[in-house]
Amino acid sequence: MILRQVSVFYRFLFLVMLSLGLMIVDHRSDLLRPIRSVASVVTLPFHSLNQLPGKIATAIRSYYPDDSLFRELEDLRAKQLKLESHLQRYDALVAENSRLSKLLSAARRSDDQVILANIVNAGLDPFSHRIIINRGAEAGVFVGQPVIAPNGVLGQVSEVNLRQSIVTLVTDRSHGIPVQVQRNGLRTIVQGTGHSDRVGVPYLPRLADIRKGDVLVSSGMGGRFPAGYKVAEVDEIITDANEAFLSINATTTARIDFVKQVLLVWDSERLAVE
Amino acid sequence: MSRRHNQQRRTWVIPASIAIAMLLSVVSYPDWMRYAVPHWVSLVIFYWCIAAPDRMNVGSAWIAGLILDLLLHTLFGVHAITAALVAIAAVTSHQRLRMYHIWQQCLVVFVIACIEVTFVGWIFYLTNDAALRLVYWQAALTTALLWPVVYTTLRIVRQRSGISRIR
Repeated sequence: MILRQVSVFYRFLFLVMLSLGLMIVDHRSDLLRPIRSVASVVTLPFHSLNQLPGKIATAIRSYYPDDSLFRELEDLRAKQLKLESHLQRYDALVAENSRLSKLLSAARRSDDQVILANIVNAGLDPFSHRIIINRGAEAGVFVGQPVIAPNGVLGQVSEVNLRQSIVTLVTDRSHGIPVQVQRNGLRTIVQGTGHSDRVGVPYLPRLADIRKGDVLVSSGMGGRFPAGYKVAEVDEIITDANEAFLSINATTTARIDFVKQVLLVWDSERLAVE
Repeated sequence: MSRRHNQQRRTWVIPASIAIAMLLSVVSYPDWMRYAVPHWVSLVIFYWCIAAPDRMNVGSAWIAGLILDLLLHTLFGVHAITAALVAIAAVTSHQRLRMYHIWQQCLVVFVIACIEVTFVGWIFYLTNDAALRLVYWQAALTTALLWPVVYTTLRIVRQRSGISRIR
C-alpha cells in the first residue's frame, strides 16, 4: 500500500513538472498554437451548445407557417447593428469638424469594412475578461483586430483559431486603448480594471481638462483601433493633492451583458496604406 | 455490486460524466455568477477518485484537466495541475474520505477548491496581470456547496452502471 502511494506521488510530481513545462512553453512561444487551432474544431461544438436554447427557440418559431416576418426581423436587426456602429462615429466626426472645419478639407475616409460575428461564450474564466466569437482565420480575422459593439469598442482579437477567435475586452487588466476626450481632443489611455464595465484613465495630470460625463473615443493612435469609436464615459474624478495623476473611473459604453453580436472591423485607412 | 455483474459494467459513464462537467463549465453564466462558477470537473474527478480509484487516477485526471485548458483557452497545464492535485488528494486518502460525513467531505472539497483558485489566480496574475481579489474565492464556496448534489447524483449513476467500489 505504501509502495503504491509512493508511486502515485512520483507520478503526480512528474505530471506537475510536465504541466509547468507546458505552461512555460505555451506562455513564451507559439509552439503549441497549432494544437490549439486544430483542437478548436473539437471544442467549438462544446461552446456551440451554449447557443442551443436560442436555436431551439428559433426552430420552434420557424414552425409557424409564415416565418418571413421573423427572417425580415433578423435581417433588420443585423442591418441596424451595422448602422448603429457607423453612427457612433458621426458624433465624433461632428465634434471634430467643428474644431477643425478648415483643416479638414481633405477627403474624409470611406467607411470601414465590417463583418458580423456571434458571441459564442462570454465568460471563460473569472480572472480575465475574454470572450469567444464564431469567426476565425477562415473569415480573415487577425490578431489585434478591433472588435466593436453597437455602442462602443468591445476589445480586440487576441487569439485566432480556424473557426473561432478569442477577444480580449477593454475591461481586461492587460488591455489598454488610446483614446481622446470627444469634447476637446485631449489624448490619453484607457486601461482595463478587471471589473466588468469599469475602466480607468490612469495617466492624466491633476490639471487636465476632463469632466464628469465626458465621452472618450478611440483616438487612432498606435494604429490598432480606428479613430472615432466610443470607448467609455467618465463617471467619477477623484483629485488627490498628493498624487501627480488624477484617479478617474469610467464606464464602458459597450455593455458586454447586453451584446449578442459584434462587428469585426477592417480599418479602411490601414487597408488603403497596405 | 459483486463480480457477477462484471459483464454489465458500463465504465463509459466515467468519461461521459466528465464531459458533462466540462460542458457545465463552459456554458455562459449570467454576469452576477461570474465569480461563483463551480469547478464541475474537479467535483466529478474527486468523486470518481474516491469511489473508483482503479478507474480514475492522477494520470486520467491530468488529461481531463488538459482538455479543460483547451476548452477554456487557458495556458496548457494550468487546469491539468489542479486536476492532478484533486486526484492525488482523493486517491491517497479515499478510504478515509469514504468514512467522512458528507459535510466533512464538503470541507475537504472547500479546502481543495481554495487551493485551485489560488493557483489558477496566481498563474493569471503572473501571465495576464490579473488582480487578485477576494471575490474569486466565491467559486470555492459554491463548489463545496454543490458537492452533496454531485455526490448523490454520481452515486446513483455508479450504482446503475455497476461500477463497484474498490478498496
